[in-house]
Amino acid sequence: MDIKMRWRLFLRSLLLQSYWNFETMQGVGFSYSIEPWLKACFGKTPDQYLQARARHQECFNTQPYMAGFILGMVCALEEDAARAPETDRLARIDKMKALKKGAACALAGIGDALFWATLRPFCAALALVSALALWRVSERAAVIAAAVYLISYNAPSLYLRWRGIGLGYLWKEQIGLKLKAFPWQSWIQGLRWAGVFFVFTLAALLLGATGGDFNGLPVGAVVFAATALLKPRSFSISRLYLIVCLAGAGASAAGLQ
Amino acid sequence: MELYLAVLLIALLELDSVHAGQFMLSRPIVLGALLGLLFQRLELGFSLGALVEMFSLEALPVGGHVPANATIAAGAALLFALGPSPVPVEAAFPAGMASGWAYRWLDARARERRGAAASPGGAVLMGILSQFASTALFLFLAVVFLRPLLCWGWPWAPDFVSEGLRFALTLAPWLGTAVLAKTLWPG
Repeated sequence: MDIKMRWRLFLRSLLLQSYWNFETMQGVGFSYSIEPWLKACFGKTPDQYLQARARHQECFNTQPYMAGFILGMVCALEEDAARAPETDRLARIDKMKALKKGAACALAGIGDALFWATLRPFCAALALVSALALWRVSERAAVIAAAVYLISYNAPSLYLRWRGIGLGYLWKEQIGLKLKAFPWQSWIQGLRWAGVFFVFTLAALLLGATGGDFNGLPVGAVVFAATALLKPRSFSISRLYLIVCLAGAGASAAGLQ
Repeated sequence: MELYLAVLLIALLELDSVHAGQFMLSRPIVLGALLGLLFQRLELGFSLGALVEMFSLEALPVGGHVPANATIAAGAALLFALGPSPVPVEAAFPAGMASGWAYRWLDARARERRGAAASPGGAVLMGILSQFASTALFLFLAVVFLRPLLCWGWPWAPDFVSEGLRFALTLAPWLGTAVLAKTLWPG
């Protein structure tokens, strides 16, 4: 896989979810991503090319930033299948399909925990702290905060998306073992603790900015503590917001505000 | 005119949330700063975007789950609160969040109708164009119908309703920060 092909696969992988649907999920997007590679492997045999493209349109779903690992792995295995004798090809294809499915589930679990549940809120906390800290110093604090958010999120995610293709191609069937060696949980825990630090810094800055928000009483800080300690995860923040609206409306109607 | 330009910008950036790239350009915190710059109300734009960001971090797009669309929620709230004759922020914020939920329902129906595709390239292009068109149309209708309705209806709202919304908006940053803490707390 040369650098030009890797770029083509990488750019196409950015459109992995462009035709997301409940039937094939990312299947169409995956097939689109791997198309240049399949043309290179099976270009001289159009029937085999169409079969290869069709098998990658089947149901597939994983965390989009981790899909590069699977893309690389599948490229290597399709290349092996294309070179294999006719008698061996079907067995290799079946093995590839099973590996692809297994890797998709495993990587989805890692990716969801790392990116959606950890890195994204961490970057949000970092950006909000930057904004509040710079508010009195710079008119463009908001722009700086947005830039901090984008850079802190995209640096690791783009690196992983690009690197994943090369590593998946190199590791092939060993992908499971190799990925197990990465300290995913340590990274997640470390990011979470750092995120918690930024959240409490945010709360302190917010308290400094708003002070006693209701007749000198830091009601907001009390609400923060109560929500953080008592809110069940299954109870959405939107529902909580609605309850607070109703409480405020009720207090106003009763003449308490 | 700026409002309609903003509609197109939001529709373009919304593609980043799922369909193309996922570079987080569609996130409310970025959208708020961008639209705040466009309407020369950077502080308000960013603050509203930050609120929607915190409120949307709970719901994760895992497996087949389609959460409320945070880009639409932020975009709608910002379109209501910025520009000429703006809607008060305490009304714009919940109206924006409700728009995000409404769009989620429409998006789920659209995804159900998509099936297998003969040509991946054609399907990818169709997916992107249809998503852009549907987002732009949804926001256009929000600007043309919902925004004037909110502007007209707000002065008629009973005092306790407006007080309730104002009270909730004052506490919203604390609620959002608490949810951020819960989301990040290890274990």
